[in-house]
Order: sequence, then C-alpha cells, then structure tokens
Amino acid sequence: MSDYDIKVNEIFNQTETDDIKQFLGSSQDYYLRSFKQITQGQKFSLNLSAALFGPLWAASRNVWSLFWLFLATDIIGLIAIFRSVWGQDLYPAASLSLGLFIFIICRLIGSFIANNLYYTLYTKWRITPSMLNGSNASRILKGCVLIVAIYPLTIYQFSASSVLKFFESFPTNRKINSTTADAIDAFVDWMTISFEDVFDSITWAIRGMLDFLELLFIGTPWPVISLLLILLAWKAAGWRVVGFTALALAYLGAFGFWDKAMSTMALVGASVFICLIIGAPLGVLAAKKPRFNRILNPILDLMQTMPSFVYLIPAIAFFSVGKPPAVLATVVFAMPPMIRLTTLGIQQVSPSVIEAMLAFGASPRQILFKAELPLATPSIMAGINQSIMMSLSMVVVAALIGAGGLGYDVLFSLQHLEAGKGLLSGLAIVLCAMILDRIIQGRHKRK
Amino acid sequence: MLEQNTARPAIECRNVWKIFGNRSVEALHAVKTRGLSKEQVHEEYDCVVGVADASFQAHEGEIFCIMGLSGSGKSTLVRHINRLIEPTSGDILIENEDINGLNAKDLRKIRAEKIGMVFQHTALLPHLTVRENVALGLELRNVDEQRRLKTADQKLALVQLTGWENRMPSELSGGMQQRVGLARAMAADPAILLMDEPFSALDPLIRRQLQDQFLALSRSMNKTTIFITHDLDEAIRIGNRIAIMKDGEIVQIGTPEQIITEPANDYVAEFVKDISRLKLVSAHTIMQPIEDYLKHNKLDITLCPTAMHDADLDALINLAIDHEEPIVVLDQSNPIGVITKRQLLRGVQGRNADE
Repeated sequence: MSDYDIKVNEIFNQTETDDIKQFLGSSQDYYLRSFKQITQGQKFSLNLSAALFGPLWAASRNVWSLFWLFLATDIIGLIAIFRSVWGQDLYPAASLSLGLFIFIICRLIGSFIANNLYYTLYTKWRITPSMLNGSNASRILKGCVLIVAIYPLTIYQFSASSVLKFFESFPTNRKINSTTADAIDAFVDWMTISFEDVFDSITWAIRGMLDFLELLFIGTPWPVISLLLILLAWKAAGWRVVGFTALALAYLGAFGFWDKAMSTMALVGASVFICLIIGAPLGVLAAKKPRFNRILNPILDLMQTMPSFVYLIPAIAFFSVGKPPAVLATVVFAMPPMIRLTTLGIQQVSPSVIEAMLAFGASPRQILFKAELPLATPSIMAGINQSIMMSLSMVVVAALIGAGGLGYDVLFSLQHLEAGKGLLSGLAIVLCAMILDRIIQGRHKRK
Repeated sequence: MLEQNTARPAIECRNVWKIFGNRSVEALHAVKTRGLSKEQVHEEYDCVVGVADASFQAHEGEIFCIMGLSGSGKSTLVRHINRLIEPTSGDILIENEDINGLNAKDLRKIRAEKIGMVFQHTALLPHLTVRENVALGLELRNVDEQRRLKTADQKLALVQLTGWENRMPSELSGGMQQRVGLARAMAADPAILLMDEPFSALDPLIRRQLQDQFLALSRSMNKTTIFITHDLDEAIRIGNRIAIMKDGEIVQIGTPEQIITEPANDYVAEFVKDISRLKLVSAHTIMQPIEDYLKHNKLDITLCPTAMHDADLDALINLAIDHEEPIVVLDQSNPIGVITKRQLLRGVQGRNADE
C-alpha cells in the first residue's frame, strides 16, 4: 500500500473507495487523490488531460456542461486565429494573439474547474446511479461526432473570405410558403361562399346583441348608469372602490369619452358573454373528459400565443368589417382563460365531496349543479375577470377593423401622431378595465 | 345481542374480491387458480388486491364494526355496500337484494333512501349552511323545501346542534362538523348507516363524547350500522360484533368477548393484548364447572357470594373483595360454576388458571 493510499483511506472508507473506482473506470489513482483534495477543501487543481483534450476529455468523463463550454470558447478562439491566417482582418497579428489568448485561457480555466465538476457528477451519480449509461468509448465517439459536425463549418463560415452559398442561409423554396398560403386562401374563399348564410346569421345575432347592449349603455342617461355602477361597486367591494369608480367615471365624462367608453363596454360585455356561454361548458367538459382536455389544451395554447392581429384576417374574410367580426376576434382571443379556469375550478372540487354526493344518491347532473359548479364559482369568476381584461386589451386591435369605441381614438392618434390625445384615450381604456376589475375582484375577496 | 344473532341479515357480503388495476379480472383468475400472493399479483399484473374473499353478515339493528389498520381494505369493503366501488367478484345483498344488479336509477334510490353514510373527513358542502347540508339528501330526492328543512332541524336537534342551523360548516369545530355529518346521514331515515372512521380525526376526549352520543342515539333508532375504525378500543365500545381485517382479508368475526378471549391468530392476539378485559370477559368464560370443583373441594353454597353467568370481571372483583369464599356462578337460579380468587386474577390477566 503506497503512501497516498493510506491518506485516501482516511477520507473515504473501503466501500466508498470501491464506489468511486466503479464510477471512474480509468485513471483511478489520479482522481481518487483529486477527490480527496476536494473533500478536504481544496478549491482548484489543474487537470492536464482536460487542458490538452478539452471537449473530448469532458465527453469521455460525461461532464457535458464543460463539454459545451469548451466547445464554445474553442470555436471563438479558433475563429480569431483562422481569420488572421486567411487574411480577413486588418491586423492579423492582433487577431492571432487574441485568438490564442482566448483559446488557452479558456482551456486553462476549464481544466481548473474540471475536477470539481467531475466530483459533483460523482455525488449525483451516488444518488441516482442510473444517470450514467453507455461505455467510455461510446461517449468519446459521441463527442467526436459533435466536434466534427460543429467545428469545421462554423469556423469556416466566420473566417473564410468566400462563403459557400449553400450554408449562408437555410435552403428554402419560396414556393412552399406561397402555395400553402394560396391553398388556405382558397379554402377561406370557399368557406365564405358556401357558408355565407351561416356567417350572415352569426353576424346578425351578434349585431343584435351589440345593438341591445349599446342601447342599454348609451341610451340610458349617464347619471343613471353612473349611479348603478357606483351602487354595484359599493355592494361588491366597499367604499374605496366607490371613490375610485366615481373619479374614473368623472374622468370619462369630463374628457368626452363617455359614449365611446359605453360603446367599448358594450363590445366587451358582448364578447365576455359569448366567452362565458361557450367557454364554461367547454371547461366543464374538459374537466370531465381527460381525453378531450388533451386535445383542447394545445388548441388553447395556440389561441393564446397567436398574435392577436392574425385573428382579424379570418374575421374580416368571413364577417367583413364592423363590430361583429371585432367581437368574434375578441372572443377567440379572450376565451382560453375562461375555459382553463373553469376546468381548474371543477378539478379542484374535493373528491370526498363528490363521493358524499354519490353516497346520498345524486345523479351526475345534480353533482354538477349542486356541488361542482357552486364550488368552482370563485375560479370561474376569475376566468370572467381574465376574459374582461383580455377583451379590453383587444379593443385597440379590433378598432383596426372598425370596432369603434375608445380603441378608435387610440388608433386615430397613432395615425396622426397626436401623442396627447392618444395618451388620454389610452388612460380611458385603462380606467374602464380597472373599474370592472375592482368590482369583480372585490366580490371575490369578500367571499 | 343473542336474539339479534338469529335475526335475518340486513347486509350480506359473499366472497367479495376487489382488485385494483387494469388487469384485475386476469389477476383474480390467477389468484384463484394459482394461489398467487398479493406481492406476486402486484409484480405480475401490476394490480393491487384491495379486498380478498371477504364474507360477512350484519343483522338488522346490529352495530357491526370492521377494524383494521390503514391499508387493510376496510374502507374499500364498506364502499361496496352502497356500490361506490364495484367488486371484481362476489355479491353484496341489502335485505336480500343484489345491489350490483341494480340499474343507475334504482341504485340512486337505494342510496338516497336506505343507506346513510358518514365520512372520516365529514365531506360537508362548504357553500351550504349546516341546515342545508343536512337537508341535502332530501333535496336530491326533490322533497319540498319546507319539509326537508323541518326534517333537518329535527335531526340537528337529535345530535344537539339546535341553534347552529344557519352557520356555515367552516364555523363549526371538528366534532360538531362530524355531528352534522351524522345528522345528514340520518336525514332520510335510512335503515342502514355506513360510518367510515367517523371519529378518527377527532381528539380523544371529543371522540369519547361522540361515541357515547352515537351509542345512545343508535340504541333508540335501531339502525343496522357498519362502523369502520382502526381503533380496537372504539370497536369494542361500539360494536355488537367485530370483524378484524388484515391485508384485505377478514381474519376473525366475533363479539368483543370472543375476540378478546379467543383470538383467531397471533395477529389478533397481538392487537387485543393491551385491551382492558374488566368489562368484556364474563363469569362463564373463566369459571370452573361446579361438578369439577366439588370433586376436590368442599363448598357450602349458602355462605358463598353469587353472580349471574354474564356478570363481568369488574362485578366479580367487587364481590371477591368482600368475601373469602369462592364465587358461585348461577344460571338463573341453578349454580353452574365456581370462581376462585386464582381464577379471577388469572382471568383479569387473560391467562389460564392452571398456569
């Protein structure tokens, strides 16, 4: 037994040493000593083979974080070196020395932390031994393949004077895009013509609802509407919100936004109503049928991430310009949170409550209406709140296709570069949103 | 109690098996033909045996306790009775009607009218008042509002919660919530009560109180009760008969005294080891037949204290303290046995008098 073996045994007992040896495979003596030093508190030690072989060492030892670090710094350094060799730079000597400097310094830094990273990997391996698989040779092969695939092309692209045409940009065929787009256009045209009646009747129904709401909001004298809103605020959320509501309404009136605000409210009201009557049942269905939920989820993701402007195009195609298509575009944009929060609310109802309902002879219908929906109400209310906020944020976008209201004012100021007017009408939209939010939130919190 | 044993069964489970998992039918077949153990079933079929070949009868008006540790399958078994869980095989009869043969509508009717259930975690509806919670079962059956609220108030009075009708469940303590649960279970006047560890989540003092209250109530109501518990003390206090479950199987069924004095195996024996026998073991269990005693001893019966054959150890000790002579055990008026001090003390210990 050599001298250092005895010292190692003071730190690691026999089983641990065997463990480490199993983990290491080759070069056991060197790494045993190095691990011992690390456990004794030594921070850094130079790993020569890591410095020499760089990414290949990291690959063979499974330290992939270091592999990518070596790879990145190697490439940066090599690019600078090759640029000077191929005469791409004004000062070849400077770029050569910079490249060499980066290359060597980064290799050194990497090999100073290599042993520590390797030791960290060992401690992880002790907890989950299954994390390491594959032989040493296969890992080296993997590293070689990655290096061969990445190094030459990248370095050549950045340092050579004449770049290969093929690698400059992704090889593309412009026709793929245009033919697909044409096909979609044709489909939309076909839909527009074949289902004209359907779209017309939808437009008619939404216009009817909007007309009614606008009549209600704008037709009713402003003192009555103000009084009703303030009463609602008082009932739902208390004095503070009453004060806020009164001030906000005063702003809308004094700055001449009243009619437009009411028209926007009507638009938002119609959109949220449609969101609720379509979204809540879909949400319940999704909560009850996991398979349906799995199909619905990506669609909802798509609806939420698609830029809202995109919704305007089919809306115009099917329903022409005006308020009804604006409502529909808003509905598509604002519905996902309604569905999601309804599903969440229903899923959160405790299974023991459902079991109790069953034990007392409840039918599925009774369970839904007497237990699940009432218990999911807070979550559904949060969904309505989210839908309102998203509808209001859609107001300006929808003004592009003739939704009118406050959004139109913002759009107009944008087109005429009238910053002051734009700011004032923007503030009016914010206040509308806050009034609705405070009232609904207040109801929430009180419960 | 003896006369109840001859009454017709209100609930009968026959060879009930419940195996959880996608391949439960195959797994059951394998268990029956190849006699696999539970671990083997889990390995081979990825199925879990919940209840294994459980059979019992609960008689009308009886309190039948099912005792077992967590994971022993007692809650699973009791959920078969109102078919919240359907068995993999076996029959469950409620008053000789096979509950697994019912269609959805009849099942709801029998759940609503015949079987009340109390849950460990109360499972009250948090958005309804106490009164509305109790009236829930009636509401589900479309009883008109005035009548169901009146019934609810009556049942709340039974569990001594008058004055709390308009509170929300969250305003009540755990013990009170559990009483609301009991009132709710009784609202439809069901013939059968299923109680799934109703008092387990309560602290010991309140638990004891509720046990007493429940016993008093059930004496006056004469409902067939299946009472699930993991606490043998509770089972002994409450049950007319007790079934002990282990790993999904019923290990022993018997009266508290039978369980204590004749445990079926080491597992049950281990359980009953620390149970106080004073109120459970009766004179005829520890006595020596009077003929045997007279073979070796002389006895002047007129000087001896006497006790009836079903007197418990507690009463016998009281007699023994004041008398030197052995106690004579009477069946009505005939002496049938003798208990010496040695037998009495060994009886308290739960050991044989000859040791």
